[in-house]
Amino acid sequence: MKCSEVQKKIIFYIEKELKKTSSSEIESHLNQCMKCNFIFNEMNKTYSILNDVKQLNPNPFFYTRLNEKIKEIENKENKIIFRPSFVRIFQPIAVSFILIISLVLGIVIGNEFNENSNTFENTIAFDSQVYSDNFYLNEIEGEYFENFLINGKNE
Amino acid sequence: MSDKELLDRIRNKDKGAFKHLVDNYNSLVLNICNSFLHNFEDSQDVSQEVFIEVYKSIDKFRGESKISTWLYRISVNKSLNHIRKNKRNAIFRSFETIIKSQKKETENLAESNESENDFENDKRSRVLYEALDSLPQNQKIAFNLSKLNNMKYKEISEVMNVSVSSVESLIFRAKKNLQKKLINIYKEN
Repeated sequence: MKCSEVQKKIIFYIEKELKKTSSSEIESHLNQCMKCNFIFNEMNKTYSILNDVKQLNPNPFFYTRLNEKIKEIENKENKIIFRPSFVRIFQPIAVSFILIISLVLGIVIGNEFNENSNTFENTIAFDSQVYSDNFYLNEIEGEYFENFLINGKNE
Repeated sequence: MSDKELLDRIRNKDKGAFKHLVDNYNSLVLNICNSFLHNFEDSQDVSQEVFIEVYKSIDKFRGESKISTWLYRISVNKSLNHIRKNKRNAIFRSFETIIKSQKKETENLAESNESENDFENDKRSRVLYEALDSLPQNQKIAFNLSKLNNMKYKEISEVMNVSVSSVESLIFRAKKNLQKKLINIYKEN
């Protein structure tokens, strides 16, 4: 038997699922081939871990904890706000309400802004006139004075 | 108490009957979860989820299969969902275990032969479970239920909703794939 053939059947050989003839052929090959023998030993050790898996014992307080968890879930579900039907109805209402409120607020603020915009512009115009007259902050207003100084000196 | 009687009592919110069910199947559910998750704490959390699901959906269970089959099916599904949900965490956890194992490796150098054996077994089981986890889902379910939970092919076929011959074929292919993966690891080393 070739190495490749043995390596294809090794797991079934370990599980004792092969016919007698096949098993004895593999056995004789393993006695001769170091490489296949190494693979067999490794696989046997690893695969046998599955036979030694210990059965777990549940925690003695498992039922108490489970019961608490179920109560907690039931309490939560009993609160109207967490009920899916409530959420299904409440969600679109809440979204529409927020949209309407923001629309109304937008219109009110827009109107307010329009009404005040004229007074605002006047105030700015008045203020800039006062400042430019007194402090020459406005370049156009200050031009005459600068020209007077420059031209006056030159003349 | 028969399955039907037990179901009727649980449907009527009889806490005693539910406790009876939990006490009877807790160990089986825990071990099924553990055969997929390989972690006691996670398996306990998932078994709790299994029984919560049972309690919540007992009205939907028509009693066409045995309670045990229904419970096994929920356990397998919940465990696979848990694996899917925690895939990202698992990457970090495996990174953590690599670091821990490296740390352990250096610590173990000076320790006795006994702990060396433990370390080797840990390494072997990690390799084995990684190979098992990488199997296609149906092969993994069939193999785990048969090999790690000693379930008969008939029971597995009921849990998986497939024929007995499909279960045989799934387990055969699972073993072939497992063998291939393990041999590749040995050849690499």
